[in-house]
Amino acid sequence: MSSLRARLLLPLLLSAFLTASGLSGCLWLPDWPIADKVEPDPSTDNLPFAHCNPRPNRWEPILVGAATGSRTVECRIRGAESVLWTLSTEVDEEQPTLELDPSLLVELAPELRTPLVLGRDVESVRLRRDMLPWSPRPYVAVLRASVQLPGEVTTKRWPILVIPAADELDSRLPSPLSEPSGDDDSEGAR
Amino acid sequence: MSTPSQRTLLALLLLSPWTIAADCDGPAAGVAERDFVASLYAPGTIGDASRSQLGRPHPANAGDIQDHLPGFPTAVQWDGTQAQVNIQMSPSIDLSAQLLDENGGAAEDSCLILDGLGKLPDRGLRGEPVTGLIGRSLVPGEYSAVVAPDCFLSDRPAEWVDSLTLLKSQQPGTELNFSALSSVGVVGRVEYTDGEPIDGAVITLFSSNAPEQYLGSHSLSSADGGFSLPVPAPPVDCGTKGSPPCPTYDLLVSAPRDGRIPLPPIRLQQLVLPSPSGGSLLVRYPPLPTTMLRGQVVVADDGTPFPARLHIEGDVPEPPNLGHQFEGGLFRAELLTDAEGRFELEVPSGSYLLWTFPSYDEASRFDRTELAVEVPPGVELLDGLEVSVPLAPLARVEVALPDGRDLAGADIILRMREPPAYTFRRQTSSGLGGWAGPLMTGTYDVEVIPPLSENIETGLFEKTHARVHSVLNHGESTDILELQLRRSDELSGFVYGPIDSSPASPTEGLGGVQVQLRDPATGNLLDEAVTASEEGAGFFRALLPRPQSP
Repeated sequence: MSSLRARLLLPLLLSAFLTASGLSGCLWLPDWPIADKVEPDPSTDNLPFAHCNPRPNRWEPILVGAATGSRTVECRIRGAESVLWTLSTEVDEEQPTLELDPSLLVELAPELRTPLVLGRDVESVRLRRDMLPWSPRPYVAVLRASVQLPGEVTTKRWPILVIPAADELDSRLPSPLSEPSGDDDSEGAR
Repeated sequence: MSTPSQRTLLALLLLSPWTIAADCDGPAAGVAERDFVASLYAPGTIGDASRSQLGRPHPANAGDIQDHLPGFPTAVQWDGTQAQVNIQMSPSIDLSAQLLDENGGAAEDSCLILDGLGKLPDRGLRGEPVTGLIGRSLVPGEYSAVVAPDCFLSDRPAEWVDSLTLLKSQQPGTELNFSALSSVGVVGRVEYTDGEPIDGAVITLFSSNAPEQYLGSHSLSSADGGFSLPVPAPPVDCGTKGSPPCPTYDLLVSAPRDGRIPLPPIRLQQLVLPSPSGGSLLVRYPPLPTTMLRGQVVVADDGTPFPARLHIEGDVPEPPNLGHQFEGGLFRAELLTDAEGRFELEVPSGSYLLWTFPSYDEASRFDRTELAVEVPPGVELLDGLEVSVPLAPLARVEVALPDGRDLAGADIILRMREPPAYTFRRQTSSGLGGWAGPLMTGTYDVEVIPPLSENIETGLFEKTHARVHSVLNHGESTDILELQLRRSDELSGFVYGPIDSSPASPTEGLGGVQVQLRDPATGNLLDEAVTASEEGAGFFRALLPRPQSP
């Protein structure tokens, strides 16, 4: 291509380009103009069940009380056939991974022996004192995320420590069917 | 022969069609500036906890973000033209601590629970069972803390610390010590005014100044109504002339969770404990008239039994007779119906609200209910109470692309703000132009996760739009929530930092770090990614939505 032809074509091409980019508002090219930039390996994005936060499977209790606001427990889940989040005081054979002494579990009403389902097929659940089963005594429950991956089920666990508050014990709780409560989210850095 | 600049422009022209087709919405000159906050999480390394930090545009390398903890009050501004945002992951510190009992020995099974005050990750740390030692890496900064013997699960008092600043690592041998409060025992008795003991009442202790902070002391009354409760030992000489006043406490006496004792709460306020007079505590209830409530939860349409979770709460008036400390209050209990939806509970006379919550799986069809029940005095049995559960009303969420076309395949995450606080996932379909279905009444935080789109060039499925958020107030009629995705720009980022918490740790690109880009005003998640681990370690790509036009 001669320089003359290039000069002639340039305005036309430029016009076409600007029109096209204007349509999408987009002018971005991978690897340009940065030299030596290495593209991320997309495969690192695809761990099936990882980055659970807080870190699961150890006895680091998540405290939920009147002063703590809400707590979010989340994982990065990819390619799962199903995900089930439950809360219970049920002791199972995997409990030692939490180093959770069953004698520490305060006896509660039977419904917390039966896992309470909090969510399905989601990557996070939110825990707040007035959302959890009410009790005037502190109790520990185990939050579980069970993920059905092709050929296997993987479960991760978090101990949840729920404590009472004086005002909550002797004053009316907000009706769940009337005014919505604000989400005074005081969870950690997110 | 074309010049280099002409070749560059030609390359742009050749590539532009597929970038448009993929709706890459990448950085473009003139794109409006926007702010974001990056939350970083690298489990197992670099502090083992998430932290929020700010990125800074590259190539202003001299101004790359350094350690912004503690205190990073504003978000980074990204104007859409920078090719890369660098984010330094702040170094962690090593916390080496020991939990001690009130006698200075190692405390067994105790916890140090740190609250990051909304800026730092919260940590619940348990001392080693025998030594009470804690060795963990942490994000440095200011926390509030509670030292809880037996992790709140026994009756020993806990201590709340409003501010605990942790900025430097402690090495083994120079541990921070956290001692349990010294305690003294207080004894008491719960009884009716006629002297009959009350067995099984729950007694809990709170600071009068901070009733939201549970002090860890609780007890159950025994068959003879007696209880003992450890309370924090008061300072020596408190309350005497020239000394500060003694701390005061609120003592709560109530029914257990399942309401098996018809006992509304008594709150004794501003108590100095142990009593300066040395006597034991006496909590006296009047003889409250009670009624046995029997009922059944059924489906409103056909009367089918409906097992559900029940929460009952009612005002119990103060009776006129004297000699007790009950000033009126709320009786509260939670229970499950049996498989036939039946329930039975003895309650003091009063005005009640009865709430029923369907189980999670039934919540896709049925609604919550609230029923007012008046329980007059003098009625021993209130039988045949029927709680009718209606079908959940329809809701509809419509999701559109920036150009207004319906978007199929988007995930809609619905998080209830009120009990029972379920989280649902639904998906839009092209036939409906969104999602429509029964949904329990309530207020929901709604998050839309757009589906991946196939990149024509690479054949890979990629994200094309950032997430959007809204709130759905779903009442008894069909509510429609319309959301529209925003054009989004791809941000290239690089996370780097020390590879461990030692001061001499080399700094390099950090792989396997989850990066969450959040709206600085709302905290809503816009997009997330994980940094590359091997080649190109530390790099990531994520989407930021463009600001909405005023």
